[in-house]
Amino acid sequence: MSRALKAFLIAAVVIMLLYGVYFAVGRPSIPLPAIRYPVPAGQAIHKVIQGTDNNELRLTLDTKGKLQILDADAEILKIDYTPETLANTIDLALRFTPGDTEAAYEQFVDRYPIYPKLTDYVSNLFFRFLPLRISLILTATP
Amino acid sequence: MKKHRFLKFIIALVLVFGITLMQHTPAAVADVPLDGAGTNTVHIDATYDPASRTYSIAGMSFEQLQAMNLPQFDDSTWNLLGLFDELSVKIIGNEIQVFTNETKLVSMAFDENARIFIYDIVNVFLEGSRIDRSRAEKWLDKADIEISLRRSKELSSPIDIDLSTLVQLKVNEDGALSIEGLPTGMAIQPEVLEMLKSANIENAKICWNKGVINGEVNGAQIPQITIYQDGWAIIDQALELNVGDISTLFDTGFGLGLVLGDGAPIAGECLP
Repeated sequence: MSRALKAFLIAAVVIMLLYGVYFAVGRPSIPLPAIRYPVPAGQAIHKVIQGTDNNELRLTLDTKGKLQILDADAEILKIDYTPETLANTIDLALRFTPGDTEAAYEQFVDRYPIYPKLTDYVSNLFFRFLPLRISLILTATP
Repeated sequence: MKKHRFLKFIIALVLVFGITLMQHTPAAVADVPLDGAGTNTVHIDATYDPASRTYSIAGMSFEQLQAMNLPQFDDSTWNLLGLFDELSVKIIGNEIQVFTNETKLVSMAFDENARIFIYDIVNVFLEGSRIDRSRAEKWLDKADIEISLRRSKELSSPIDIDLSTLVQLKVNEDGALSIEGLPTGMAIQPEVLEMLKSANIENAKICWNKGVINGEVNGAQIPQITIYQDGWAIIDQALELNVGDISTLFDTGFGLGLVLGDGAPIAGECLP
């Protein structure tokens, strides 16, 4: 067995072992650093942020299938999704978009038929195998 | 020999973990329930005080009811109400029961013949339309209706609504809206109708259960949305929606089946 193959197999085993441990502990979502975004006055969301206790609104996307909008310590809204329901929603949104967006999307898919499969794969990858938690903190600028 | 054993060990490990990882856990999102043995619960509580001549219905104070132009009772009504400490009417299955002061006063059969009689009476008052008997039976088969009147100065309890049968809404080609086959005299805006048509929306099912919304559009399930009562207060205040107190809504459950054009009614139920 060549040294390169041996190194590859060992690396594969180490990754498998690490993922096995991660899987055994329930695949907790991996938190990514939160992104802060100051919202200027005049936008509709600005008033909502000002209505919160600490002038801050947190949007948390857990790719395991949960989107939460939170005040300082209270939940405002929660959306639970699966890759299937997410795909249905995107399909629905495309139908409602004005103009030729849906037709343009269909043309794009006809040209690159791998695109829906790729998005489906990415959605399933982060939903089922490697969930991430992404937070966006919205603050109201005075 | 040693190398071969090591290679076999690695391949075995890869296979074991590979198979384990393929068996991923199912999504933790509840499906929209389609069938089951739910009930159509409507419990309305009302309190009244003959001394002050005030009353409260479904958790609303006398002042709130007056603002909604509900009438003040005349002397004979107050005298009649003064005779009872408690009066309740229950419709459970094929029976109507009337209780006074926790004693059964009257029990009447509410079987098919009695229901047909009532449908015929109601049809007289419906100009140009008739009750859809099969839909009415569907509603009444699972009915758990209770209306209680109590002599008390206390505020009445909030209304308890939990409907497993879907309320069928139909939008005709011209936008006219009917509920359970009965015309409402209302219509959806032409722009909205055009938008729904151009998006090829044929039907939709929405289930509300104490802040949790499950839905399907053209039979395709959409994500589950949970609205929290405290969160709603923030949105209502910030966007100046002035919807007011909708806390009762967060204790209720019901479903809507919307059909556009000549589509068949939405099947299934909404269950908690």
